[in-house]
Amino acid sequence: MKPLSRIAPLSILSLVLAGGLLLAASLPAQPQSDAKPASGQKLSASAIQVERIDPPQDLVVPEDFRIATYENVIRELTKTKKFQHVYRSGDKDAAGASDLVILHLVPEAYTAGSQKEREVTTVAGATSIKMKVQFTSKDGKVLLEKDLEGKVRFYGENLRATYDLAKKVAAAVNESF
Amino acid sequence: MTADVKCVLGIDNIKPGAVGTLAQLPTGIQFTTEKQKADITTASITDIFTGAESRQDISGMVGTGVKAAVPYGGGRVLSLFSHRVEVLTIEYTDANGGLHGAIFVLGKGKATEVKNQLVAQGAKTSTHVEVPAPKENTTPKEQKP
Repeated sequence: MKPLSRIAPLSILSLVLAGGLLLAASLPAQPQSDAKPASGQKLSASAIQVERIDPPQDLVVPEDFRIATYENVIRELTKTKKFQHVYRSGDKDAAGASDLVILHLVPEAYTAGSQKEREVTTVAGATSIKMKVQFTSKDGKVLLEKDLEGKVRFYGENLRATYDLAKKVAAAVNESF
Repeated sequence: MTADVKCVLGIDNIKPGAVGTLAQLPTGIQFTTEKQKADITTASITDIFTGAESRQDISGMVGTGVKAAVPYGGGRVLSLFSHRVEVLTIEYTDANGGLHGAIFVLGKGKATEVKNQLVAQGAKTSTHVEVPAPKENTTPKEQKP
């Protein structure tokens, strides 16, 4: 056997392994396993209201990120079909819903990335937004709470991080409701 | 009227990412695509924000495919070409009081123009913390509370 043909299978194997690693890295991170309420029972509600997102005073989150997160979360919650109604912040009809769950999204950290940097270097320029996601009852009792992070690492515009976060919120809802 | 405006999301009957024209009306704005149109009235607006960003000249599914297809990582060179845009974010309420947020991407200078016209019509706006535009060649900084 020629030396070249002995090296070829090794090269192919390393390429396949590298491809697999890249694919695994590009998949969105799975939601954390603490999505279920402490009792282990699933929560139930016929309606959910998404409250407006107001970052703490010492954290600057661009307005388009705040709004895109709010809108994407509403879209993804509607897609789950877990609730008969998904109410927006301030919707007067929400007051009449009997078993309403209120979703609060509190920004905790924001990293401004760059699409150009991501696509040119493939290792730098990631955009991420981390939020505390809290489901409460009408009277303010916390039913479920977890920290979630939306990221865009390789391809895509910065705002795609908000879509990633919204998908994780929907995954948490699917797991817990 | 501003052509080639991208509605990123936030208008109920408009598909996210739709491209159309943004027209100024005496009582608000109207976004029109080939198939749909939607209005946001000045009275329903609760806040308006503008910001600057850069967008890739070659983007989307096709653009990403083209970049990936160039051998020896040459596609990355195509990622260096970008242009400046302005992002217009409008917060408004529906008839029930529900909060909506619409995000538009316009050409440089156009978002400020639309904002000024809406404010002149009486749209509400608050004072905002200026978020610096993302720098392309600096290390991103994480902000924690």
